Amino acid sequence: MMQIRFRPSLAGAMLAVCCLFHASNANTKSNINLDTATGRELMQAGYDQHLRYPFIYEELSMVTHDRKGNKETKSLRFFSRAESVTHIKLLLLFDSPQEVAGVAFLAQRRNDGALVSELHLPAFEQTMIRNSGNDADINFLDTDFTLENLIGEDLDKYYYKRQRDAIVDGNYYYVIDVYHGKIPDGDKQKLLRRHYLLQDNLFITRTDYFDSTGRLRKRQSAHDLVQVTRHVWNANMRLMEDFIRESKTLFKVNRRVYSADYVPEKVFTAQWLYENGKRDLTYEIGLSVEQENETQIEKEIEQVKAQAELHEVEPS
Amino acid sequence: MIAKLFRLSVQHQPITLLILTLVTLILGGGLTRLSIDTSFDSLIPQDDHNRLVYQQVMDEFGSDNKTIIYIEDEELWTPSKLATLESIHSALKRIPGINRVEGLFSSRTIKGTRLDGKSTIKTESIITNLPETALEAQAAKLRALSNPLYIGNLFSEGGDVTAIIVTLEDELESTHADIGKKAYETIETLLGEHKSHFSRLFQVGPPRVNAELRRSLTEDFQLLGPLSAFVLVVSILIFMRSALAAAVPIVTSTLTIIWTFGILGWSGIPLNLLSAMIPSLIIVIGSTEDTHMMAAFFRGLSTAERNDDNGDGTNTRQTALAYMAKHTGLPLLLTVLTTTLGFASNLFTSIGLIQDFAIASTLAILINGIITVLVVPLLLSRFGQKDAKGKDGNEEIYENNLPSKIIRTFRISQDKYPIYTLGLTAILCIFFTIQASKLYVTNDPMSYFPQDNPLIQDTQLIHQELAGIKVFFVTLEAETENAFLEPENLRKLESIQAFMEKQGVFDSTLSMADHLKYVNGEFQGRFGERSLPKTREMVAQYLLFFHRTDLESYVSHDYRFANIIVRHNVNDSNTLNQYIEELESVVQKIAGIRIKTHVIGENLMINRAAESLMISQIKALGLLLLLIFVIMSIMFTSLKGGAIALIPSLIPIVLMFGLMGFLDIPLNPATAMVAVIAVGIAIDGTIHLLARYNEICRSTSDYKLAVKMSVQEVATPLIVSSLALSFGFGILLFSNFTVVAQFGALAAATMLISIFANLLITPIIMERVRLVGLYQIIAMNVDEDVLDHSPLFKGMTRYQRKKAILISELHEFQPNEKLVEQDTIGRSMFMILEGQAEVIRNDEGQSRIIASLTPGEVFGEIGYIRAVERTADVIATTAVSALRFDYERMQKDLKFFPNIVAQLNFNISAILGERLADALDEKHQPITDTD
Repeated sequence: MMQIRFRPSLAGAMLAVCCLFHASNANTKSNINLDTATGRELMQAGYDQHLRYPFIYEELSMVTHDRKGNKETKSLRFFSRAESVTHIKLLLLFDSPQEVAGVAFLAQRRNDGALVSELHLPAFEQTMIRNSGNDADINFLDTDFTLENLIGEDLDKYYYKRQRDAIVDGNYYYVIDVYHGKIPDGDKQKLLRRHYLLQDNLFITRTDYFDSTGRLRKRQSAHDLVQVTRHVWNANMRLMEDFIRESKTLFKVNRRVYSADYVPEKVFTAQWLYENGKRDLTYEIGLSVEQENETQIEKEIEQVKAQAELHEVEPS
Repeated sequence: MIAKLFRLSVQHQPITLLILTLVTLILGGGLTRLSIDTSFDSLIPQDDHNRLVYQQVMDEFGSDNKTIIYIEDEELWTPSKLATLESIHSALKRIPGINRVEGLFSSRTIKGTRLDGKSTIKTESIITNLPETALEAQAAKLRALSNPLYIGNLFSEGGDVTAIIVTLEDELESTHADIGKKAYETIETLLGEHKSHFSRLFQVGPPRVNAELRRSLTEDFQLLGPLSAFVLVVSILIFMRSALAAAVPIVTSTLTIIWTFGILGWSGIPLNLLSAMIPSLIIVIGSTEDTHMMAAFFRGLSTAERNDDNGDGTNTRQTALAYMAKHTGLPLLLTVLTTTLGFASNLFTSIGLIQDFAIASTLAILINGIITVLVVPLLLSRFGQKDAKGKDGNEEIYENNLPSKIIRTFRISQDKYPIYTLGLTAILCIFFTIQASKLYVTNDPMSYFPQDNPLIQDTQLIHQELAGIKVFFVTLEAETENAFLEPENLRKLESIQAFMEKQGVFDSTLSMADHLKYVNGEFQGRFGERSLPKTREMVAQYLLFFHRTDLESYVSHDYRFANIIVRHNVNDSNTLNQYIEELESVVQKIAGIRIKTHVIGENLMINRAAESLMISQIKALGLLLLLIFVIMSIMFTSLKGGAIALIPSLIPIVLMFGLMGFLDIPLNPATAMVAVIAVGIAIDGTIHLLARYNEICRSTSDYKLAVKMSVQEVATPLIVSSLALSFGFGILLFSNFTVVAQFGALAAATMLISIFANLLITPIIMERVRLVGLYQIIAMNVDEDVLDHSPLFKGMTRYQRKKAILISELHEFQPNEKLVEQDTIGRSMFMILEGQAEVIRNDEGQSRIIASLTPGEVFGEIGYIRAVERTADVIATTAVSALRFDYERMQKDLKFFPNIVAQLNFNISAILGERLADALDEKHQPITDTD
């Protein structure tokens, strides 16, 4: 298993949702001319290339830092299941500390494209609370990530403008600026964020977020990249730094399993959450990443891809 | 020695001028290095143990260096106004040194709904994208007003007012120099550009308060000094009718100001709002000595004119200078000492603001003393008048001018109703002492500004529409981590807040409990009460809906510390301290023994300093009075003298404190100093009065006359200087600072009262005592051999002899002048100190020398004992200095100096006994006694 520098994981998994939405052009390796490609084409190529295994189970540590450097660690489980290319289910489940164990965030991208999310707070009631807040700027569950940071951006909602390539820390990057809307509107358009795609594998290892005045507001970076297959990469750590609040959040994968068995359909139901949401913590925070045998993964991916293609041709 | 000191600059004029010029140039260089301190830190005692706690709380819960930008408009929630607001919000973020901008565009709401048992929670920004329609803008308004945590903090209840809260970098930690000042100016420019878009748009916060302090201070410096100088010149011209008398204080004051502020500049002692008074104080206080010296100089001129032989005036001026040195030297040194002590007393406080002022003012008075001694004689020797021309200190000046009228009025009371006058004064003092009991202390910086100051009005507006800008924290510290996840402890926060609400003086309180109640309420779909979550788990799970920074001001990362932020607008330390004291006890009671509590804030520490201000000023006043009592007792070799010297100081103090209580003027850093400064200044007049009375008593046994004469001589400079001081202090009423204006008004009133005390009350008491100056005893130059052999001083120590001499009257006689006249009745006894005299008896037209008298010899002792006719003349054959011991006077002095007078009487008995024995032995010899 080869390791490269960047790239986080849970958010990476979330990004996969978007990838799947654009799976019509999915390709494990880019077949466009990268030198002349537009920003949008590069983004699409990156998403396509890192199309991920549709059944992912991760055990994570979420480490939050405040401006004084105080750290707080929570452990979570992450479930991702692609029922079809257009129907994705995600579940984020808190395991520790004890007070928040069982708190669940359930999101679904339905076949009609609607994104719905629900919360379960075990201490509140045995009920699922519909979460209708989708604000791109609202921080998500005490993290420095917003929901959009985690779920990933809809490429059709933004305009991607390719900038001059850059070399950062000896690595070669494609640089893409992101604006609202589909067509740039001259000076009126405000730069929202800037993506840095590693030229080696089209993996986004850094994204800078800007506020309305053009001031650097946040930076997301991917670390501890792992090569899942020949073309697919993933990150074991994803860091979000908020320069205004002087806080940061790190998601670190302690264990990752690419297996449908780990993400059965029932875990995405309220009943399962009520009954099994809480569990005793059986692993310790900070363990190294556990992954299944690479060959096994390759094999499973191929199977799932076939499944995905099958889903793609099925009517939604 | 003192006279020599006065003559130093006259005798060495070039060197003195050179030194004065050099020192002025060198110290003048320090003026460019002067710094201004307007920080609140200087209002907090250095030894306040709460400083450490405060710093810890700041470290934990963040800086309180916040500026509030107030925006008010009835049409605030329209697309165009919100767009303008957004551009302000964005521009603020770009200003260097601004850490955080909170307001409409960074706020969010959590909204819960419940329909058919299904809960929905919606977290959203108040404004994500700028509204383009009125409807969108109104929707944003509804979102804003739906969050109770924002009402009173970011939005007014009706929504017409909003605030942007700007957190600045800490001044000490900032990489930007003068960050507060620059940020304030940049914000001010920014707001200026958009002012026309809103009904009201302004900023209030520490940087503005500092800027306002700085601006007011600069204006005060530019206005008060020159105005004081103008008033002084006019006063002196009116009362003393001399341009020179007006010019001299201006010269000495200017030099003193340059030297003082130069030293401050070189030594790095900053100017503060109290420093604005210093130029005025130097001008008015410094001028009092100059006025006394000028008055003495004019008296000296008339004395010298009478004795001027050659008539060219040169001698007149020199004699007048010598007279001035002799008569004002010691009082000047004493008054400089007491005034310095008055100002130096303020060093006892631990409040930096007062300490810095005390250093500066003490330095100023000392320097003024030095400059006065060097410059005034120098100026007078060069430019002083050569003749009196009506400028003498004698009768003419007392005829029609204000001082003479005041004295005449006072004299009626003194002569006719002395007891009633004293009684009435005592009643007045009792009344004002009762009034003084209403006195209260305040140290709040906002009370330094007048109510019509735009800063105060803006602050009031924020207080009315949102909440006061003053902040303090109620901090609870548990023993274990995660303690404030426990509902039980959260309920403690809730109870404390409920109590504060009951107190009714604080505008708003906000804690972690409020945040949780808000989320809980929303999760309950607003059907539930806004109550606290019931379990620890629920608390922890609700907290997931906040970002850490949202709560960092309310709870520590480990949930061991919790904080209630309180905003208020109480400007009176006394009221605030009472409520805080009550709050502290309740907070501790609610928190229980396992939780430590602190009620802390910079504002509270400043207000608490009011108490230490009171204590330190009482100490300073007590010590100063004691010192003056001791010094005066020593100087006049009498405890009574010390006590009398205090009376003219105590009366104004009592009346001043009473006046403050009556007029509801609080004790604050400025008014608290009035007492000690006033004592230091008022005692000056008393010293001059007592010193002159003492001198006159040396040549008369009529104490009443001595009092009258001394009052006559001292009244003009005393009244002129006191009025000048009053006017000078009155100038401070024009200060931009209420506290300085109050100081000015009170000090002016105290100076006026001191005229009444010095010229009405002191004389009534003074004529009932007889003082002898220690300096006279030390300075007395008599032939010790004469005293050793004189039977009158037998058995007395040198000190007693000298004191006895000073109790007596010293008379100078020219050759052929009669000391005693035959056939007259006199109750005086004489002792020759210097010169010779003859005893001549006249019988039926024939004169016969019956004895020659030499130094040490005593005569007239029979007449002293019994009122019989003198039996012979005693005529000086050379210039004679003789001591006269008057029977009646000695009877009076017996109560003042019992030991000395008793010993004198004993010696006189011995002399008489000797004479009787001699007479019996030589009964056939001719009688030689003059009696």
